[in-house]
Amino acid sequence: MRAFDEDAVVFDGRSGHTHHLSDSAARILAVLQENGPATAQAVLQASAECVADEQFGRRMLDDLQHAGLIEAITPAGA
Amino acid sequence: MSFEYWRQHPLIGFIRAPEVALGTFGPLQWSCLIGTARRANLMSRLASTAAASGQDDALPARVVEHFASARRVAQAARTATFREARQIVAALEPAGVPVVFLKGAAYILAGLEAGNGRLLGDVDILVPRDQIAAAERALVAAGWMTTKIDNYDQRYYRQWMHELPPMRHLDRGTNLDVHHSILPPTARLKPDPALLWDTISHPAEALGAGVLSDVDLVLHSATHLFHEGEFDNGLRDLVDLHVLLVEFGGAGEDAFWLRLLARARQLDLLRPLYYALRFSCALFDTPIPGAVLSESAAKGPDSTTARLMDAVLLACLTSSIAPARGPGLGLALLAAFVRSHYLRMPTRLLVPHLARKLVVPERG
Amino acid sequence: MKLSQRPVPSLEMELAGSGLMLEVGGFNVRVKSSVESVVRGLPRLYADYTVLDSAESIVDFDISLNPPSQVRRWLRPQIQFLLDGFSPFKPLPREQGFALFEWGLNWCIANHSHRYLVIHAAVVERDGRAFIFPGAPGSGKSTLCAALVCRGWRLLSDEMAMVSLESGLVRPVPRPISLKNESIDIIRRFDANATFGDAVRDTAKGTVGHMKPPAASIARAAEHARGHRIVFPRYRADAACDVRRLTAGETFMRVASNTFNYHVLGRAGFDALGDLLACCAGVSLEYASFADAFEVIEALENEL
Repeated sequence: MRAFDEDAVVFDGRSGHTHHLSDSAARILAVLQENGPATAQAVLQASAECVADEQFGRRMLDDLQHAGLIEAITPAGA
Repeated sequence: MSFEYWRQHPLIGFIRAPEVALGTFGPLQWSCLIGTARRANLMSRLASTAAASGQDDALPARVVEHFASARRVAQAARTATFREARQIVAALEPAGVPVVFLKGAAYILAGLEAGNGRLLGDVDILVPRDQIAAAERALVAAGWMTTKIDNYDQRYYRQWMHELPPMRHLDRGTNLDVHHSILPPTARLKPDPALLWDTISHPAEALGAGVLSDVDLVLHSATHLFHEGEFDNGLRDLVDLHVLLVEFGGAGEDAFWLRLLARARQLDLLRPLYYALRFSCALFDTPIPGAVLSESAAKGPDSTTARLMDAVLLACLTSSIAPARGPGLGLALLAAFVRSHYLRMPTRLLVPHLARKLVVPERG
Repeated sequence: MKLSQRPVPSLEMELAGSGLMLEVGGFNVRVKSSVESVVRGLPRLYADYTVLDSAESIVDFDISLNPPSQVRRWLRPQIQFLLDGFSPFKPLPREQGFALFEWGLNWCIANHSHRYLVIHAAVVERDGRAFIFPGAPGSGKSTLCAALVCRGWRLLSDEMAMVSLESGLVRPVPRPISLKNESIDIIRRFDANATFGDAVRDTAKGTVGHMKPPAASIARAAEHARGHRIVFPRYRADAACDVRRLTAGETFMRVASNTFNYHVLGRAGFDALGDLLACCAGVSLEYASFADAFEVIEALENEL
């Protein structure tokens, strides 16, 4: 993943696709990657810490799932 | 053009002995090497050959550029092959269909030297004949679709040949050929396809799929090259054979050669093996034991046919790098095409099929 | 020796025979052709390029431009582009021969240079700062590029930004600048000294002509440049000049979608593009006049 000031891009080695992540999603993903694999629950929790908006957290979860990244960070499933 | 002429060709000389090439090539030879390697889809193969023989540092800078660029493409092909294999296995495993990867995909998945620098236009797989319908259903459900919708061509593939019509994946745009044997059932030679399944192996990297045994990989490659009548990648396919034989049979692996002959006898593939050994040795000095060459030649054609086939096949194998397309080349290609169809289909079917192929334009 | 120093008769003989070898942005290109549009176009537009001795130089691309060897020789005369004796494209009408050479050479370079990110973009440079203009056809990037070059900017390319995976620098491949339709007249009016080849009508892209690149740009083709800004141009007549900064992520995705070989390069391409963006911010520019565009570009030059 390459994080910039305002947003980030992620290379998914499995599919070869590149994804654009908005700012908050990028920060949350970085937090999760630092702390090891996480469940969807943890994603929501982390998002609540970074951004006090549960709706946002759920949208972001969607984004990450859509980008195939949730699989990489939730080996045990959500 | 004789064997001696083609042995001197820079591309063939480099594959046979890169260290000799490096010692003798000037700008003209390097230019010829670059142009013909690109034309024959062998640039990345040359890059691997050079790296394997430790000759990288001695290459001219301009050649290094071309090799490095080609290596990137081969790396992309390798990554794509693993990605496709994963998807294919994921589609067929739930349907209970075992799958064996063939040719280029097999070399890459099995980690063979022949897979280094190998590009591929499509993935070829083998499934059991009695499960071909189940395989097709599972693949269609997973996003593949049949190309070549013409009814006649559909029948040609399904009824007479040993494969489904070519398939393409809707999202990824990758091509897939599904076979159930390595020779069509209507051909004069009749190897039993079930024998192939007895000795398949499952390399860890192949993700649950199988690849043919070493001798079967060689025999399939030989059969595909010398019986299919398609020489667009003829030289590349012959190089595959050479590299496979060096890896499996080099360094005193006598047992391999005995098994190869025995298996060829068992599968009734001695004739294509004869041609494979003859041409690989004649152009690339493949280290084949003399006794093996003699025994294989004993099962070869009579001397008149042999001389004719030498000329025809040599012209076909080198057609992609021949300096100019003279009338002789056109006839050689036609002769090889007709011969391969002769081997694949009974005569009564052959003539209408060929006539149709010449008249009906291929659809994209 | 430059091509301009070669007498035309010997040039024609070489082209018709064993081929003329030119050094083009570090690529050794051998050309064979007996077709008039090519034989006329080369000495005019490639006058300042170095001619090579084919016995001494390794050929990167062996190109021939001749009638296809079939019936249509006399029906409607055509010309075919061959690389290594193989034709990657359909033949075109013979008058489009020089344009076919240019498009064909672009294809050769873009498809065989995977030590680089090959971005579909124009690139110019001044004072060590390279500006990259990615652009779909119709964005006006080639016209803007030609105008900047006429104003003294160094031309690296009108078509391909080649970013080295190793150094991150942009490799120049200065070539004739391809212009279409009204752009040809616009540039002629903008700079009376601009030299053009013959314009050809009725191509798939309309009327096409080529502007001769400055000798100084060709002479500096070995000088790689560091990227400074990525500018997505959009020409719109009567539009107010509008500059918008793009986030790095937005810029990344737009450049990636304009990169010919992004998918071939995989992870290496992702990393190289990320590195480029670390030093090269992205901007979108809507403009109606060269003056407006130049003002914006000069302002960007002065930024860090």
